[in-house]
Amino acid sequence: MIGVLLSIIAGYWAGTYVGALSIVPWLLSLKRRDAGLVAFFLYAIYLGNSVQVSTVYSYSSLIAVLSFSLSLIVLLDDVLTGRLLPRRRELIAIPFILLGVLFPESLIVGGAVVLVSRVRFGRIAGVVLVVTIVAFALLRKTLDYAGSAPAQVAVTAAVGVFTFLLLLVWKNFKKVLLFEGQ
Amino acid sequence: MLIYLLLLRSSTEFAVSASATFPEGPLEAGKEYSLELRVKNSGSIVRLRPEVSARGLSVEFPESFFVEGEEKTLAGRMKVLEKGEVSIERIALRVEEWRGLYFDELTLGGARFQAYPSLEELREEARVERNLRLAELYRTGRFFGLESLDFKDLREYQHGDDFRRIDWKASLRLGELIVREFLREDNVDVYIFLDNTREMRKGIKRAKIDYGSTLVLQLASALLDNYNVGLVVYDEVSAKLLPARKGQAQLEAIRRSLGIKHEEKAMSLRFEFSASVGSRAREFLKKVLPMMKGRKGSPGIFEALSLLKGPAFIILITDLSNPRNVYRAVSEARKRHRVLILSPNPILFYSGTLDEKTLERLYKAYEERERLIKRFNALVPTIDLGPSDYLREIARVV
Repeated sequence: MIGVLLSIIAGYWAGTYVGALSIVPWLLSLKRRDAGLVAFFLYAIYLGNSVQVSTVYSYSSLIAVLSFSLSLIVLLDDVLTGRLLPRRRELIAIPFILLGVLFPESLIVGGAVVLVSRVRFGRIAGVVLVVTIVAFALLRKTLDYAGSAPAQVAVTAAVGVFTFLLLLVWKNFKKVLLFEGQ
Repeated sequence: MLIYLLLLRSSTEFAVSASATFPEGPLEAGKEYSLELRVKNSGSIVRLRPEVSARGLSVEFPESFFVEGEEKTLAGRMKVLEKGEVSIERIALRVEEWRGLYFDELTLGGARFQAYPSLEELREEARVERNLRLAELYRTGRFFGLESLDFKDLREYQHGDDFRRIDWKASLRLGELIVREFLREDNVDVYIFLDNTREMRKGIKRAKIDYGSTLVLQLASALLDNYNVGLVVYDEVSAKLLPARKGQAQLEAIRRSLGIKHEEKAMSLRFEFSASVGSRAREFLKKVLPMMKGRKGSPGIFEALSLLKGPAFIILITDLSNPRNVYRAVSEARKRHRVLILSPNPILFYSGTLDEKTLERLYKAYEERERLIKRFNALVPTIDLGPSDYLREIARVV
């Protein structure tokens, strides 16, 4: 439910109503997780199409990127766990999220608090996160110019490919297949 | 999003250890037992889904969540579906990560149990089985000698009464059909004799002894409400007596003495009276060679009969594979007791392959058997039974 709240407020700051659609995957996931996942996939594509961000080096667009990506992640977590109500530990984040209506930064803090309370941060994930931030900071000179969006996407994609490869080879668990569980 | 997935993977750790506790002692078919699964989770939050593969049992465990470091006991239920040897082959634990992305499997060893037949199951079976042949026998009055010859009363004919009971003189006098009623014998001890000789135990898929055991339990459960019921199991050389008593405890005792396994062997299908000695010669031999235990030709059935103190109603369950001895024993027993023979027909229990030669042999055996039954019927009521005959009628009548 927190994911839906985050999405709606993030949508409000971006001036779009698409965030309100996030309720669909969440409700579907309560009924059947796999259906919720499919709806989430469609929602994420539609959202990516309706929100335009040109650079991460301007403050307002960085806030928009972070708040949308955090709300998407929390929503995905809601869909995966299929929970109706937030857990007690997550309630701390609610005031931050509500304050997000006035200050968008507060929304990011709220989202981060929710994630921290739900997921245990491992070392490798932390390293990848830090590498991404450091890479963007170091490459600011090369990447910060008008129309640099494709270059920034290329850097993000590079980190993405690295992470994906990491996911392929690191900790090989048996996977639950879609439409096979439950 | 990928970093989120990476986070999930890094926080996932499967470290579950488990041990199972099974119920002790022999089980009873149709009953439910509880069993426990002690689980310790030293890894991340997981959902545990136990799946049990079992033979003759249905086992259920609830699904459960385990947080980090949690240790708890899952209570499962186990229902026994059939008698004989049943087993839990293995318990597979599916350990799923909280968000349902990854899983791991853990396998625990199983256990074997011995299950007694259940009374409810047998009663159910009896309710379903319809045995018209036996009903016919009962109606013609040949079947169950529980009515004595002492005259009790006259009453109007009712639908279903035996025609042979109509008192024609009284009917003529009163102008309507009148039947005679007889006194019922109530305080008689009923002894069920079960033949446990080698021939009864033989059978490829199902032996006559299995059928016999079921029959004993059905008879006992039906008769125990009104009579003292005892059980005698005899084999070639000896006999074991369970004295006649009433009540559910007796039924339990009877059930416990019926744990007989069959042997996987073909039946011999021979029914002839081997020696043909004249009656006078037999009388003479009897005087010269008194019956002795352990001597060839003096099997358990004689000992079984000698175990009975007072007069009783004997239901003898035997396949008549040793007709000479049974005949002698029954004709002796008839003087003191009332006897009814229930005989599982070996030909109807034949479950081997059928070819022309076997068919011919079976037919000959069948003819031989018919003659034998006729001969026994002249002595005491004898009922030939097939594998699907259950004495539902007795249950209803008694």
